Amino acid sequence: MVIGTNEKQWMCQRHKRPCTGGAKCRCRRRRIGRARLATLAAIATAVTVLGAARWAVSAPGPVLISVQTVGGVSRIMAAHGSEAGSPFAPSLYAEADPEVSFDGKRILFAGKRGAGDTWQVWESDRGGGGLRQLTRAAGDASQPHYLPDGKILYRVAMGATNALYSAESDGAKPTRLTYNVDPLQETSILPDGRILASLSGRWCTLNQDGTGISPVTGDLAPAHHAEAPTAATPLATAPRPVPTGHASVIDPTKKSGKLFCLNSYLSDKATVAGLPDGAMRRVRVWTRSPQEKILGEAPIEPDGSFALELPPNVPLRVDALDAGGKVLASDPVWLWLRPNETRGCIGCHEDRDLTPENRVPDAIRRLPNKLGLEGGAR
Amino acid sequence: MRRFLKRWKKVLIGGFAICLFAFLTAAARLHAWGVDHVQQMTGDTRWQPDCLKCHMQAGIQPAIGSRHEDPYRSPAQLALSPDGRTLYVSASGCDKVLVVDPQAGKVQSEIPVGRHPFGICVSASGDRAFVANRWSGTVCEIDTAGRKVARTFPVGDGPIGVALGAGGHKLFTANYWSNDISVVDLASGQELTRLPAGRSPSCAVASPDGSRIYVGNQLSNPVPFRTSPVGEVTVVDANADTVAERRTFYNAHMIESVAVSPAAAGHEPFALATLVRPKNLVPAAQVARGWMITNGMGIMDLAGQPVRLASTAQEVPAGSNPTPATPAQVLLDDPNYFYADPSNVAITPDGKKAYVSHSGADIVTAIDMDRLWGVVEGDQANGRKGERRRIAADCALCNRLGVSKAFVTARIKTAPCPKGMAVSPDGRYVYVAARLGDKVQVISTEQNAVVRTIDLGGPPTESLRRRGERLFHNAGHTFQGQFSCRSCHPDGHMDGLIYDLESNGLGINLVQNRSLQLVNGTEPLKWSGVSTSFYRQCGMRFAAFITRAGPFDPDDLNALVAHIISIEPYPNIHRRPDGTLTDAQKRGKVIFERTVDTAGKPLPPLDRCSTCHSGPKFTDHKLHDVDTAGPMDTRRKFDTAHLVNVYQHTGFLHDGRAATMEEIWTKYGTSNRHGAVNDLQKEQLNDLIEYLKTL
Repeated sequence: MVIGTNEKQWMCQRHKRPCTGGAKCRCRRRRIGRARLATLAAIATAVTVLGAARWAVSAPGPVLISVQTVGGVSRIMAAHGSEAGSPFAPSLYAEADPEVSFDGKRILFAGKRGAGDTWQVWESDRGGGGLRQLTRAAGDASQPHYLPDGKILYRVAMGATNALYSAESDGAKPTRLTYNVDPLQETSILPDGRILASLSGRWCTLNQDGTGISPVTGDLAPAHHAEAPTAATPLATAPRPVPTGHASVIDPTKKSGKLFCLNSYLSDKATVAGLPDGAMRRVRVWTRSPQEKILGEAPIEPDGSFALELPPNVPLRVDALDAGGKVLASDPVWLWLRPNETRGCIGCHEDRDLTPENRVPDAIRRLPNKLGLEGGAR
Repeated sequence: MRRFLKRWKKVLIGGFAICLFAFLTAAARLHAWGVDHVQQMTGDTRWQPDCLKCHMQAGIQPAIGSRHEDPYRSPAQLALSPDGRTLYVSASGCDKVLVVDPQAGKVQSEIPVGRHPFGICVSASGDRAFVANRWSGTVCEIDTAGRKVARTFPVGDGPIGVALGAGGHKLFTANYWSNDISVVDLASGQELTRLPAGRSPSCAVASPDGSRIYVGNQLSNPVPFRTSPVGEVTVVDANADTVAERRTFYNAHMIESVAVSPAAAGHEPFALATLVRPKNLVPAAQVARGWMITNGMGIMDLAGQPVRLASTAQEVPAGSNPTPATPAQVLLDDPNYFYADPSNVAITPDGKKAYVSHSGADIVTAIDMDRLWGVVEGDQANGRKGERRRIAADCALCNRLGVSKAFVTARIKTAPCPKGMAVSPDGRYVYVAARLGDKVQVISTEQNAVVRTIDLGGPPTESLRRRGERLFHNAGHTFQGQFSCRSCHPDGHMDGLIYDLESNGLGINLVQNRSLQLVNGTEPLKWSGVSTSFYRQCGMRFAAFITRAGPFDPDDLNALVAHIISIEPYPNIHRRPDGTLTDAQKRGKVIFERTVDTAGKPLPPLDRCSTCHSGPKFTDHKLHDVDTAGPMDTRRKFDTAHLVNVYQHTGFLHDGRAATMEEIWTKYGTSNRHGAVNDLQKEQLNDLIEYLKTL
């Protein structure tokens, strides 16, 4: 082969080809190319083999998950078929609250690395591989759940109470959802996407973004509450239906939420339902930070309706007063509003099977009364 | 140059690398922001940023074929021959009546009729069947022996229901668009008279003896601004050809079906009517607990034969008392799940069982009538202590979820969109037309289960548009299945209600529902113009503020948009077939397009009708302040409404305050900013309106 006039210059002594042997040597380039190709092929082969091996290990078919107390410590035990169970995450000190992902391939659970460590949320493949810690909460994080939108939900202990948090699937961007005064217990996800929880001994529901906390309607609980798997009733890692999602209207940049009631006189409590028309004149709103204090008062309309604009992300409680300021009805349950949430109530502890009357409440014929907000009443 | 490049080579490469790094970083950050933005707007991680779909006006739309290219059958209603051996099915998708052998489960023949056949009935002798051609304005009389159309009668606008009077000598049709009832003499084929119905009559059913015709009306009667809707069943004296009664259902509308119990039911004769109880006056802050829409049924006596109804089951306006003629209302929903769009009701011949098809839930509800009577007559209707006094409308039962548990015996899953139903003469079977499944399903009344499915011959695959139509009519995407798109947009049109949507604030910025007919190409959407595309309106906003559930996934949204942009308008009866205008319409057209006032003074462009209402759909796609804002509006500018088939609207202006087109100017447009009209005489305004009706 002849290339130009510098034939000797381009002759490779090793291969007896026109080549410089230097950086521009085609043979060298080709060798490097081949070496790179071989390396890439080796890596691809290794990845494939390792992946297949991992799949083979992590996907041995349905795994039976149970929670047992071993040596006084809660442990998650995993079993395949009829074989005896073994610790699901042997590298951890304790595990609890397992939940299988919707596709049945992963397990979310609360785990403790050591006896003195806090509980955190962990996730692993159903075979126990790929163990990773998702949360780093200050308090104990427990009762994790998968949410339909791909996020996770968990509960974090905060002194005498707790709060629900959500986070991305990898634990990033933890967001506090609830501002309950009493602890929330026994959380689970309903098929319609709401969170079912026990609050002060009463079953309640709330949305996936922490909005709409309210007592359950109908005979929802505890029929829909998922019991924790035990040794006697293990949980199989099978795919399950994805609950309904929830498109949130929460806007963290907003500094208020709205609360309105259609008819304060509508109640299951005889002391409230028996009040004469017009007896309730004002609504008083309390908050707690940490001591209870009054946020403000606003009028109750003659039809029993009121509308308020209130600070978000704080506990709230409502009293109804007569013209002299005497408390006629007091709601002992603390609720909260999320930023930009609008919360509607039909009555005051009314029958939960009632739907709203279709009428325009007097309170929404004007702007809501601001309480505890800049420019609002005190 | 070469020397320059050689000298600055490293600097250039470094600069390029820095620029590339900066660009990639910015792109990554922008993408991350886009993901956050979309996830914030949708509350869902399945969506990836696609700016054009949401922010480009009429930018990207799915490719769809014509609706008429889809050879779907779309069975709407059905009727059985008196011997129960032949089923006549109005196939609205292919403009035919299908003759089906229910025993063999086969379509025996297909009879071409008018456009979009809907209501159908069979004569007592079984030799004639009558089908209402909704888009043709006619009724076809079918010779059942010859299986061909014997005669075609012109009737009112949009005939949707048909019923025969006593002796089969007269035919009554419910005319959806002309809001009346045609009475046709079958001997001569001539229309004898038209009787005024409620608004948008949707069905016509004869009493067992044929002396009364019951016409259910889909939309509410006109009511004062911001007051409860009032549904109506118009009762016609079939012998005298007069309206005998108007039975009103307060706080209800969408009465699309009425069934009459035979006399031998062990109870006073009665009628059942499907209905919807909307909550449009309450701020739409949530969906749970029936906060948006509840689905139910009305129970009423037949004229002169009152049934015993507890007063707490009867709804009346605040401050008034129910009478024996006030119908009772009960909800068919459960506390935590709803059964959207009750479309049809049928009663077994012994009057012991009733069946309600829910087209939005793909469910047929089975009802034990004895138990239902126990509810509406008995102690359960009294409600809890204190409620009766506290609920202004004095109807504790009408607003109570979970009552259905007392009388519902089964929820029977069906093929998509169950609509019309017919009961076999022996009462053993109920035939259900699954409109979007192209099937007739047979329910055993003993087993309360589907025992047979008859395929009507539609295509085995589902087109994109058809999938969108199915999604449009299904409430599965709404929280607890409470309502479908169709619940507020029946047949792609509007329900005539004014809503208080939470996204606008409490009690402010009220908006009237808008028709979806020919809405494609009229973007931006919504009165505020906030939705620049169907993807934005039907995807993110719809989920966040209306359905309160997860948004449609991208494929479903694509199909839904394909259906919505293919919704066609009904034929406009105010247009002559040859396209010419009447003299009044011509005069109105001149006023619509005028550039000078009646004194010859030039009108500024923004004072002319044709400036803002321009283009093929009479909208300039812009927001304008024409002094139509009401006292509860925080905004002054509103989207320019398109005017296609504007005559079919039930209210006018963004919040529906104007009950008629005249009121737009005579009551709410006196400042002369919504087009210069103050120089017009009343007759000239009438001419303008006559022209507007042709658009």
